[in-house]
Amino acid sequence: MNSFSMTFTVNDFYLMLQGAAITFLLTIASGFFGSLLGFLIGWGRALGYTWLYYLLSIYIEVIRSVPLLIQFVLYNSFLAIAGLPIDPFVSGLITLSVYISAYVAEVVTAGIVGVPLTMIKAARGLGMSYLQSFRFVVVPIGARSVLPSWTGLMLGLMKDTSLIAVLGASPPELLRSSQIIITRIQEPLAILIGAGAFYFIMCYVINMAVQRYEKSWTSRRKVTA
Amino acid sequence: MFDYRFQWRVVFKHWPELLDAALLTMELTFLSVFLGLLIGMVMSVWRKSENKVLFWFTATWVALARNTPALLQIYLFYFGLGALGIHLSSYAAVLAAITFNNVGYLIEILRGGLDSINLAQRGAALGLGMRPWQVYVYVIFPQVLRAVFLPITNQVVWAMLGTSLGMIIGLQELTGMTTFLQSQTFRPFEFYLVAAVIYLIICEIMLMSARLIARQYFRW
Repeated sequence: MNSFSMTFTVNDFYLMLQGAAITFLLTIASGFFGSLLGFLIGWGRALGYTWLYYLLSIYIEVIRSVPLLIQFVLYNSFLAIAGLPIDPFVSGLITLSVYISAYVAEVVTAGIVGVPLTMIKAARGLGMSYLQSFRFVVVPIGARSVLPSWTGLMLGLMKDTSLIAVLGASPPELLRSSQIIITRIQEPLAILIGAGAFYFIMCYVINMAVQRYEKSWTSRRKVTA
Repeated sequence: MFDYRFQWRVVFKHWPELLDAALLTMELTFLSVFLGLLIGMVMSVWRKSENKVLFWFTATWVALARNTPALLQIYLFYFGLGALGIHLSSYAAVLAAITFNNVGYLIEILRGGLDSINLAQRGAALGLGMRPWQVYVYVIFPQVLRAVFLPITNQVVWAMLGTSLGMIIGLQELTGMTTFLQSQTFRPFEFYLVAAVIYLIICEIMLMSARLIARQYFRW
């Protein structure tokens, strides 16, 4: 009965790799749904109805000032008392999407409001409908200006997925799987640095790529202008 | 579907504990932002210095603090340093980790502020016979802080949200205390809802006092 290993094994590496994949998957999925929801909310705030603006601002304000940990547990226990079936993974995913939607909404509103009114008027003057001017003028211009902050939000989201561990969601994401391994082999420093390196590299590379992309955008604009 | 009976009395029986925990959350937030600002102000100057060592030191700190999860940073300060034989209490570990995290973001915020200040003022102040530290304390940073006041209040809220991670390493700030109490009373929804409301109130208090401070000190 000496199958209990106290050292870092290949299986541990696979567990961490799987954790990294789960982290990535959670980020993509909640980033997608959250951005979609946040886009609608941000658009709603920029429509110009005062009551709608304040209503949606309350939504944003509440989500932004309550810790994500609390939101996770709160939603999970809400499902429990409502008698709905709970899959921690799914409820965590929903919470993450709602959470990030508030941040995205703020950015989207800023992007839409940042487009000069004269441009929209010009588009409408050319005979575009509201939706057309929104689709072909406001969105392309606004998207460029908010791309860096949106990327920042998505990278923040990736780091926040580590909190899903409080729900005991399985399969474990990266930080939780490192925690499991640490409990067994009692080598916190090495494992944590390994996990940290993964987050670091992911964030750093994505950041660099976006900065590159941004630069190519601005230089192209200079050529055409 | 909804045959659940809410029981709020349990929660209010534990109101004093929750209030104490909320104070601890505020204390941690304040300390981490205060220390973060002090360190951040010094390091944002280093960030622009010509000394290669200082520059890389700050650049590394910023990159590490901003590109890894705050929870991982807390783990590193608590379990990681523990493995090296440095045993921090959970309070110290949370304070250190959140401050570390804060500094990373504050350096970038303050650097943005420094960029917006005309550097000729520095030469003028030096010419008036001020020492370099006096130039920064009396001339540069009052203007920088005014310019970046809003991002800093954002960072304060972030720090407050960050302290909730203390629950995971057993610190009984508001989240930790709530978790402890609900595990004793089996009323998670009520307790967490009240905790969420308390967080909202703390947030409003902090933003409001920030606005008051701004009105007092940052008048033109």
